[in-house]
Amino acid sequence: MEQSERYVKFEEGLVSRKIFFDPEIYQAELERIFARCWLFLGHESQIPEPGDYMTAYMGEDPILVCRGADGTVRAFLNSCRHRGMRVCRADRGNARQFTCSFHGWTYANSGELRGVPLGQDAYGERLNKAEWGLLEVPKLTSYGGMLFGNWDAGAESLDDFLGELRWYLDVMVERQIGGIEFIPGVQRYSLDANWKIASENFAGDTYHLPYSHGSMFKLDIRQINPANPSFRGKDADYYNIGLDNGHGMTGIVFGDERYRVDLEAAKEYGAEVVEYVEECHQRLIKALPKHQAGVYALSFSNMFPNLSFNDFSALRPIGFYLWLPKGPSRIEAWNWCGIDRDAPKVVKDLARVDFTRIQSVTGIAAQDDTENFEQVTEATRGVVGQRLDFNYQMNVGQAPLDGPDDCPGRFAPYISETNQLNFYQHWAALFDAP
Amino acid sequence: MVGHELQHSVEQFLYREVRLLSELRYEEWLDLFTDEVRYWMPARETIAGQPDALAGDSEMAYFDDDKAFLAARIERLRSPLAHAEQPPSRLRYFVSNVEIEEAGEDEIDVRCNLLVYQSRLERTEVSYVGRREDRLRRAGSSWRVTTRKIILDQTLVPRSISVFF
Repeated sequence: MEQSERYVKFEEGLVSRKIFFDPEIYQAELERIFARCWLFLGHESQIPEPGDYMTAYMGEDPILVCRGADGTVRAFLNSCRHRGMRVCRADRGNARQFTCSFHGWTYANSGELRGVPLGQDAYGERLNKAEWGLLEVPKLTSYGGMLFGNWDAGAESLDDFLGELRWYLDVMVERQIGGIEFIPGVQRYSLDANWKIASENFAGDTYHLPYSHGSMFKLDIRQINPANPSFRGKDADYYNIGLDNGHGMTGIVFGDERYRVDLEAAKEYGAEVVEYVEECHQRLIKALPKHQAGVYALSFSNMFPNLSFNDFSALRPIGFYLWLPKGPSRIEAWNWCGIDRDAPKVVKDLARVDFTRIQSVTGIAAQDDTENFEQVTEATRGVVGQRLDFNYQMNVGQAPLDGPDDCPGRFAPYISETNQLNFYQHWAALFDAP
Repeated sequence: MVGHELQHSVEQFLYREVRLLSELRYEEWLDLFTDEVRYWMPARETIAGQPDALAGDSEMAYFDDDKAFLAARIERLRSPLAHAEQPPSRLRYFVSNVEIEEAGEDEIDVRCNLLVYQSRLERTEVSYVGRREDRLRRAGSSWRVTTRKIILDQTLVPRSISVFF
């Protein structure tokens, strides 16, 4: 029996509570998932100039992302090769080199070890500096400016890893007139929960919306779209779509539905905004086949393992929510706000302010999610609680829906839990991989 | 340097304001803001050589609310489905280091330090530490807040924020 079969019983729709708490399972995840999957590092717009750098994490490993003098972006383990000190202690900046504060080893922003205090006197010929540069992340790829790294030199390409998700991401990327940029700054907050609780929520948990966020949906605010499918039950025209490699998307609707809603909303902000929405739509029609362009925006999604994002509208932010693992029961969430570089100022301002209000650290949705995620942790950690499974049986035994032709993925009703099972099935496959 | 009377009046206003928050009297608290208030908490980062690396006006913020959205937040908190504050947290606010500068005939700029302690359910404990930069406008014998800038010292916020500052 594969080890993971004890934890993920796919046919029965059951997942053991152990995988959210067990320190040994967590340690294995860091090795088999976070050291092997493509992980999100940030966006190129955060480091536009030669010498710009920012810090990040891959799993629990601290990372330094640098744009070299040649414009190439590289990522390194942010740890001196001598005694392991963090070489860069700032969140971002511009530097040609980094000097370790412990003994003064100095690295170029291309990773090479340049200087060692008392080099010849202290080491004689023993230290070959060429072998002691910063440890470089062997694979780094940018897509739509989004930077992803992979510690596994033999890993599949980012394109292959994204797989079917790429078809949908293209909609989000191609809709932007000037391309995605991140507004400067990041939000970071801690929550006491396992990283998978948050990731699976974005991968497919439309079921939680009416109750978890019931207080939000009662408000008369522009983010609450009257066409929101949350209250329409198993409505046939909104889909959750399970994708290969564990990725999942919710609330996909075809045939320009989200475009029509945007166009109507744009009228409130005047001709410039209406024109902008029309231009976004035109771009999509030119760049993509008609049925793909008709998706227009993506609702909320999770890219396996831990990058969640949402993209409801050209008038709202593209939110990026990275759930960094910090132990079996601790997440550090990093949030960024993506916008179209060439959107009119009024749209940028709308999106920026909007970002702070819903899923951000103070967001009226994130607050209630945090409470639920943390109390899941509290209520299931006991020895008896740990014997039980979580229930994902809502759609077990149901055949996938027939989605529109030529659209990738396994289609499920808007209220469904198959995307979560898809997430755990992939988790299990990686967990068992040698 | 401002007179004792002004200092006293402003401090009393600030103490009363945070008492309303700790007693969850949010509607009365909102009445202390002008209709055009910007309630803004810029994000911050650790940047070499910049002791106060705050996000700018069009950059990342934690809060960027007008009065209407503050009212929406309060309306939400009154819902039994606002799980983040059901049952309610215990909140304690500490305001200190109140400094005042005149800013025109009817307005003053007020800086203070702020410590907010949140105790929630059994063992959730969070402290937010920072400062505020307010512009207050005279309203009869008291004041109204017309801009509020909240600056946390933490760059990693200890928990998602379900309280006001």
